[in-house]
Amino acid sequence: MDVKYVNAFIAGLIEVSGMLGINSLARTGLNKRDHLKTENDVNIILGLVGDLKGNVVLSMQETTAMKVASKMMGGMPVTEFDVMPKSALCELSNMANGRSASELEKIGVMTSITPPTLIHGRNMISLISQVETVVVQFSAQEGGLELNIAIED
Amino acid sequence: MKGLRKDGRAIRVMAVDDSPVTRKMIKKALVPEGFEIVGEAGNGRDAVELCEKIDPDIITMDVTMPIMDGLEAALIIKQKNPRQKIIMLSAMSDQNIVEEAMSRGINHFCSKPFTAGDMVAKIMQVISE
Amino acid sequence: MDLAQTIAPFVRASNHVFKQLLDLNINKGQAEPEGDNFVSQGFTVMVGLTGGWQGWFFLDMSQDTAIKLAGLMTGEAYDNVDNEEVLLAGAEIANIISGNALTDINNLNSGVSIRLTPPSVFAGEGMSMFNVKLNAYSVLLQTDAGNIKINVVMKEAK
Repeated sequence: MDVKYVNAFIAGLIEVSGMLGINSLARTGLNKRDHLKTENDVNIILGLVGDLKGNVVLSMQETTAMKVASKMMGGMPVTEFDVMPKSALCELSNMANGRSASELEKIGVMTSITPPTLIHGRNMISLISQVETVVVQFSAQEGGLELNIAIED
Repeated sequence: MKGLRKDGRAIRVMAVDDSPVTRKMIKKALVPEGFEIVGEAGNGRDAVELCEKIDPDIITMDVTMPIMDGLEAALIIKQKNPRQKIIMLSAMSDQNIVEEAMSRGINHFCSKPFTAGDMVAKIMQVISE
Repeated sequence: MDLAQTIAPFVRASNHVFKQLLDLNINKGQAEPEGDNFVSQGFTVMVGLTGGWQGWFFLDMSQDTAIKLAGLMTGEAYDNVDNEEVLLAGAEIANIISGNALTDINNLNSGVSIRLTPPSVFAGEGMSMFNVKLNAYSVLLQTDAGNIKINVVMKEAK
């Protein structure tokens, strides 16, 4: 996978998070995913079709997810991981990927994106798009986030 | 046993699919009938290379694969050896690719899902042509 | 857009694919209400849909059923969903069902031209999927390998 595609997804997430009040988000690492197990119980998936084909998954732990959602909702306390925080996180992911898609468009890469779906569970294993997955790690005041990018170019 | 040529030798099949599970499914359909799986590849580029080395009687070629898709690989293989027999395996979502393949002379298809019987019958039909 | 246009083609395709690919009959199908979330039985394959209509197809079963289906597909014995081949088998089944269903949908609804993303597979405990456009009803398909649940999220693209 070309690094310029990865960069478009990183830029989209950082920019949109900042707009939504998650100001401290910073990239901390990047590596290839080498196992199926994930420690994260919240995963938001979007699909891409077009010049790029695959899935992008934003993952975090539930405690982080609730803090992020709370920040997005102007500091309103979130004590339960129900429809409200789930909708907020889907919206974050949707906006970030929309931003990434326009970044990609600027370099001539056209894609269309599915609406996001949030997967919540414990002790999860996953296989994303059945292709090699790049994992970008981020840290923020609210906790750690991971962006799994599994696309064929 | 259907998977034998007139001289009693096993028909030599090369299975190309990006999913190892689908390759196993093809093996499961063919080996009990006497066919021999002489090679496997997970993308079009590897298929082109392997085909030259092992010279199979017939190739089952998935359409949608990473790195190089099945249509491109089939066209390269046919260019090198016009007599190479190839069956394309396609899910129905590949319809526009099927049409393009037909227009370029790749005209044997087995659509997914297929039964073991469908696959055997298709191979025997193409081999006998 | 109604259930006959969205979920029914996936039910028909599932019937056909389970029979052809795995020699598995669907003994009975019934609607099952879902709440705000699609509740997984432990193993869910998701295929994204884009085009004039966009959304998701969910193919869901227990981990035990997923292991059985993989065995039916390859003829090998599996004992855990940790085995990548069990995940790949689920992905391939969902991919073929979606391909068949979309051919129907695209033929019956001119101009929608839906295309598929590659499948992703999730297995875990207490899993649920949230999407605002989730169908209020899933369809539960009873087979000898266990219950298979499907749902479709579909909306018109902006």
